[in-house]
Amino acid sequence: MMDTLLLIVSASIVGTLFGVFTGLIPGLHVNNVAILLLSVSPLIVESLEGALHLDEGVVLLMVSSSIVATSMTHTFLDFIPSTFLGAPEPETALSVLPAHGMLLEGRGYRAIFLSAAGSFGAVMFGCLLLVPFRLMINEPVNLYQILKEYMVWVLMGVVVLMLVTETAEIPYRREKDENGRAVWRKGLLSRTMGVAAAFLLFLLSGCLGAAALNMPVSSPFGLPATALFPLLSGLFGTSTLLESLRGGASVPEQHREQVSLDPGEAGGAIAMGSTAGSLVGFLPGMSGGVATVIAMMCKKEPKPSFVILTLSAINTANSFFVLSALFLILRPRSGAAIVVNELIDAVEWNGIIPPSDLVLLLISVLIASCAGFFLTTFLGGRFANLIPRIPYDKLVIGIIGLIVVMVFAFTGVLGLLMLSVSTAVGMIAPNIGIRRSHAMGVLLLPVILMLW
Amino acid sequence: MSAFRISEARVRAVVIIFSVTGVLLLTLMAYLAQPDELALGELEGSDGRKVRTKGTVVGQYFNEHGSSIIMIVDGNASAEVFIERSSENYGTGDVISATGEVLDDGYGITITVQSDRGIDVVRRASTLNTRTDVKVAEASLLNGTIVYASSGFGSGRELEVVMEEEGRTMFIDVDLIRSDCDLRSGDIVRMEGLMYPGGRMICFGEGSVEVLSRPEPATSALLSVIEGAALSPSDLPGGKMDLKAYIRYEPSSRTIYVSDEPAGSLISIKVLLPERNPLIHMGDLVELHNTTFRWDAEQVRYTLLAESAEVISPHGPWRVDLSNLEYGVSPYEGAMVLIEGYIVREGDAVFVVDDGAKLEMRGTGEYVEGERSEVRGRIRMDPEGNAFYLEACEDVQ
Repeated sequence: MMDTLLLIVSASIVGTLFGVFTGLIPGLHVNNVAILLLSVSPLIVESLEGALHLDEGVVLLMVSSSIVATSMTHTFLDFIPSTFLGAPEPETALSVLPAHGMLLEGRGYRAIFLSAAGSFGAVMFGCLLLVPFRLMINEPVNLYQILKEYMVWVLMGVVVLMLVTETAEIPYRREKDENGRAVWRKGLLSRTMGVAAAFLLFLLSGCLGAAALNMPVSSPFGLPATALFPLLSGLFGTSTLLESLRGGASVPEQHREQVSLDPGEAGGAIAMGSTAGSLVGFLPGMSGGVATVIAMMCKKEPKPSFVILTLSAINTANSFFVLSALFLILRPRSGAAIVVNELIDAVEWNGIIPPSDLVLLLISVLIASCAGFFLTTFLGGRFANLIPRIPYDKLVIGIIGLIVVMVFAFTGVLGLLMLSVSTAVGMIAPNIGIRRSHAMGVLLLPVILMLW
Repeated sequence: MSAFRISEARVRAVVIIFSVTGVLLLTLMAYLAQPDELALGELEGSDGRKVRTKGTVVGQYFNEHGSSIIMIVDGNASAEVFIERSSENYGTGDVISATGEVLDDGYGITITVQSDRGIDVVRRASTLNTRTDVKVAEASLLNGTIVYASSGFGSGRELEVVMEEEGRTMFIDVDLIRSDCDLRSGDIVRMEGLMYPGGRMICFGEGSVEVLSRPEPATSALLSVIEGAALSPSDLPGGKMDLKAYIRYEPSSRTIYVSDEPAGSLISIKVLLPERNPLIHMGDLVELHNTTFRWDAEQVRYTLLAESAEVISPHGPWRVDLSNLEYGVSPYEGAMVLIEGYIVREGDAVFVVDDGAKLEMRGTGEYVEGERSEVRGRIRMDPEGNAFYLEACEDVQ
């Protein structure tokens, strides 16, 4: 048993290092990494069995631990490229905006620290509430069955809430000013016009998502391809970068301030983010992006620090509870979980003490999370110091170039087409003055259509 | 907004304390979550418990829902293993370890396993053909009687030793390296060396094989004739005579080898018969009728020419373990043996299986399928299948 534990710890460390690497590459989602690992896992298993004379079951558990550790570390580290390079993933798409704002205020390190704290808070939340969660999801409450049945209505309610809480007022009356020039002014229907614009943006991005997610994207280099990468990069990445380039923004000198957390705000944000992340971790067709929209509905005009804490917690809680879902409902809900499910035999968790495999994988989660926290703050600080030394416009152009190259590498010419269309759609919100989060329709609308 | 704020240093401390405490607690839980390891015979009354147990497969059945049921046995205990998602075939005789939940409904024990991953094949049943993948060696101290010792000193001597262990007979081949010890057939020896699972032992250096006792060779008609011939060739009897001797090796043609003791001897003599006698077997006491001596110049030894060989006393069966046979079945070829194991059927073939080894039984008589039995038969080699089988078996119980 002790030997197995030591092997699991070693595998977790290897997975953590891998997660640092994948987390820092903009646009590389952990699911892609998991699929890459699945394809090489027979080779890993064979080599470890031969070299270390280990039992096949132990080797498969080691590879699974590595994947879990990679997945967890990735959720910590991926905030760095999202913040500094503007290449978001579904879970970080909306948090990029406040983090980017902090970066432009010289508080990039603060954004990174808040994100790491939010992610680790989600791990604490998950560990402490795992057993109550099991009682809620399975017997006796059976929340999973209830939510599964009514999920489409829950999502439609979320969309309606998201749209009606849009506060932007759009000027629609054409009048002449004192100089006799034509100007647009707000009127009684301006708020309604804002909601209508938000609905149109939701529909537009939703149609884009529904169409693009059914397209056969493929990498010219044989890499794992997903249409989400160009779509989200365009809607929330390159469109933001182009806007900031147009506004002539520059990254100021970053302050290495001592960050402190308001326990009430941090606790609330982490609890909200973790709850949303945990729920979507169990439900089919749900992603961290949907959880993000749900969580943001719950607080009116949240502070940037609250947004970052919440969204980072969602991202990590989602990974944490996807792993638990594998043992609770025996369904893999992410690429990493699919790979783990292929490798080990997940035993259904019926009692109070979790199955031994889940316990061992949770050890990997804790090791990866602890390392992920410190590595994120350390590397984030280094990035924060480095970024201002590079001219902002050149940096932005360089990042856009990098995103274009990555999109081509992962999704080919079709991906580039998706990137350009989604960038155009992503620029609608800031130009009209409505919230950019309505563009999450890119995920929400296809999910609702799928569940309908 | 509360005035109290958590500093960066405190957040870091919380991260470390939570991680270390969490890993320690989870380690404790990992110990608690381990299934109990119980023998098959101890499962009664364990209804609802999660256990890991071991047994020998005596049958497997698939249903149309992708599940399968394996029957396993261990000693006198048996159980069914129900695998919910199964596609793997477990051969009869395989020793498996199953991890699952026990259902004891009073009529029998069922262990429910989710999928094939809950089953570990501890040992695949071998069909007793030549094993070539043996690598592991362990130091052993064994006592036995030398059946055959090759000539020569120093490096490269070969011995064949027969051992009696708990009423069972086992042959092992011994490579004796760098030892000038005087060893003869019939010597009772103690050997110290590396034992390979293939039934081969390597003894290295002086003292690695110690002679405990050397029985005086029993004077028999055969021995006295040979001794006389050796001392005074001119006195070699010219006429025909009848000689009693033991069959040294299992005859495969009309040429047989005889000796003056049942388990080997100082001498073995080649005997040529006019035709093969299928009734004589290794270890039998036979009488050679109308025998004459012939000098074989090529092999520089005497050969006997006999008109016929009659079995006076057939050799009784040797009691052997199937698992021992797996590591060296060749010396038993042709021998009558008694084997204990489970009788199972695979298609048209019937096997006796025990402890990860199985031997096909051909020409079987009465036996009770699925139960542990003692069967008697003669070990034969099937040249087509390159596997050994038990001929003319019967359940002695």
